[in-house]
Amino acid sequence: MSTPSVSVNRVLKLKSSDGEIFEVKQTVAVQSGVLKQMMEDGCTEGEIPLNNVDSPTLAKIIEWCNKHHDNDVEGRVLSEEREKEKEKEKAADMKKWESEFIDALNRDEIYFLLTGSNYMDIKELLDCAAQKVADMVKGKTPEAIREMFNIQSDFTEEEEEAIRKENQWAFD
Amino acid sequence: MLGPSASDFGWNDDIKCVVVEKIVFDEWVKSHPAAKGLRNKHFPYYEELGIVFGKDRANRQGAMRFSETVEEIGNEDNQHNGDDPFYPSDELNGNVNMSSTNIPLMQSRAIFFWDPFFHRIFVCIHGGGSLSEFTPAINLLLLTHSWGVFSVSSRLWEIRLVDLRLLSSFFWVMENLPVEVIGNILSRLGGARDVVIASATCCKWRDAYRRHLHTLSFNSNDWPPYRDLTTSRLEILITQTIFQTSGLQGLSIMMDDVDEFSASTVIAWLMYTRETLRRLFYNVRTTPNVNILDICGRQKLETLVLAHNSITGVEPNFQRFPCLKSLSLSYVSISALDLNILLTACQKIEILELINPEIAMSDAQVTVELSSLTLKSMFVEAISLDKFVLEADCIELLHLKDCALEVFELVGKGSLKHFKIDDMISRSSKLKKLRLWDVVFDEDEIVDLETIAAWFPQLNHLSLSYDLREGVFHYSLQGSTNLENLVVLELGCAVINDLFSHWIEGILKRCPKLKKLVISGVVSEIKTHEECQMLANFTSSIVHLMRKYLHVEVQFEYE
Repeated sequence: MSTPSVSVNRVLKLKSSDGEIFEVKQTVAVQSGVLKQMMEDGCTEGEIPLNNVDSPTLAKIIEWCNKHHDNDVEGRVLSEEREKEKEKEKAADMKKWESEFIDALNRDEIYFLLTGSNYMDIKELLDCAAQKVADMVKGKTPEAIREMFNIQSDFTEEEEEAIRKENQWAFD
Repeated sequence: MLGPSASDFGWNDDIKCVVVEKIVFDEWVKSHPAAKGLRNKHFPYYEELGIVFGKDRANRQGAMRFSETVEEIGNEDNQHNGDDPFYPSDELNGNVNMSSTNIPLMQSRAIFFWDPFFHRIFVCIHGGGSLSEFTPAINLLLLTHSWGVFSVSSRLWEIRLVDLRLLSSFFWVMENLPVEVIGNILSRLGGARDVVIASATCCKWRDAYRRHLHTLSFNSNDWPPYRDLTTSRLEILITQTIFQTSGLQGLSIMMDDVDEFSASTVIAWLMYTRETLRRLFYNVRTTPNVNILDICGRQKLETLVLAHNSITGVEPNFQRFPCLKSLSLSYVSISALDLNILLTACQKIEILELINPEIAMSDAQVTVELSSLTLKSMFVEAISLDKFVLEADCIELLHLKDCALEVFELVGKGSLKHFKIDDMISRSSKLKKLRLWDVVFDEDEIVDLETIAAWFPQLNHLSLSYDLREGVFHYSLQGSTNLENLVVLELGCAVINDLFSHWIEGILKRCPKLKKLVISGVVSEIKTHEECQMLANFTSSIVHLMRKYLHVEVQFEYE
């Protein structure tokens, strides 16, 4: 994770789509593939506009990154002390924190988190949000999924029939 | 709208952008730094805007009354002068409120600049109009794409994606999620049936299923009716489903009740997916045997969990499994030689599990010798060998369960009958957790504390369960070196008696940093008076003992 341009104390200024500025430590920001790349390319001077991420979402994303960063740092210290047990507890605590973090969000917020983490390339957060949506979708019929997300089916009748026929086992 | 007739700029329909004479643009940019770099940028929404705007013009019968007040935010407005090509000279004062102005539409021009890097559009009003004149066109953007409008100056506005939640409904959002994100969501549904059903939601989800699904699993536990299907029916549905996807990274086929799949079908699945496959879980026998590792292991495979299969003819000279990090073999038949060579062929292996392996032998003695420079974790269950040698420089975790071993040489851990002291100290120094639980050792072959302390200076978690007999007891405590880093100690014994409490006492003395002690014992269902007395004595002596170690947390586990 260490690149020459990343230092512990330096901060990046992130500007959300609605113009709010967020300051993030560089060591935290490396969790975003996009910001990491920008740091490596040395183009993080001034405000970095994130025009696909609004301020409530960016706040959530930064909360996530800070939490995971803190945990990393603590984790390293602990392993030096050879307290594997505590590390395990830490991992369990983190899982718990992650699920509480995601469960507290409504569907819209999860969506923004999905697009925001996708845009900023934060894989762990994207996966966590995707898992949450997957849990919502799981076991539902296409009709129920459409209803849940207000998705209009754009299949023709023939197409839908063909899909059901091709995968008849799943729809029986 | 904008066209070739515009004086200083023109619309180039081939490249869909506004063409501005550079000299004109440069002049203008001097007073509009925010617009720098926008010249001749591609703007894909131009035609869409044009259509909507055209409709609006027809409805308004050629003239428009401004209905909105546009507030100015830009601080450069006061500097406008006659040189500004986008700033009409008759409005030099750049006043904010234009709501009362009545302007014939044909005189105004909106120029749209597309800034692809930041996904924003700049709208510049030319010819005495105002932004609100173009509101219908911009509203289209606002409604369909959730853009926000920002005033840069009285003639220049920036439109960009903003505050999505004002306009959002989840429906809008789901439709607009990138298809690879939907693929990620589908991959997390678990069972193949849920994935197939969800893929019938709409075209985009179908597309995500076909092109961006990374994980697919057919597990008998996911969906009970799998168990009622015939084997050939199962083969067909798995084949059909796999072949609808592309680029799978994870494939799991764990069918507990299927006796056998046909080899050709399994080969077809593997050949179809192997270019991209990273994780494979498979547990059904085939006849003839399919060399799964050979088919899938040479590309990107990182994790293989294989059961009820056999691995034969590993050839390290030309076979390499370059990415394999985690290998789990359950009820897999493999020769001792092949197992050894296999580890050599996996140059990145970190995790190895051997569960009830069927190890074919050439000579009478059942000997397995494994060596790996990268192995960090090993789990061995239900293995019965005369000799088991594991040479692993980086081993951190070793767990043996229900194993019967005559000789156990662990280079990277304790060995029992034939210790090889040379090399051991340096090689095993990284071991942090050692678990020797219910391992059947002959007398005098036990791993003693001195050995553990000397070989595993980094050890912080030690679990020992021995069948304590008089000789074993003394032997196991020999030496005087402390376990300097031990934090957690688990001790077990087949019989709870005085010997056990003495043993615990002996080990505790050697663990200066201990924080937690777990004592495990077996209590028989029918207790004789003698046994009860023994248990009571044991409890008293542990209570007594622990007064000396107040900082150590004690836990009892009886079964």
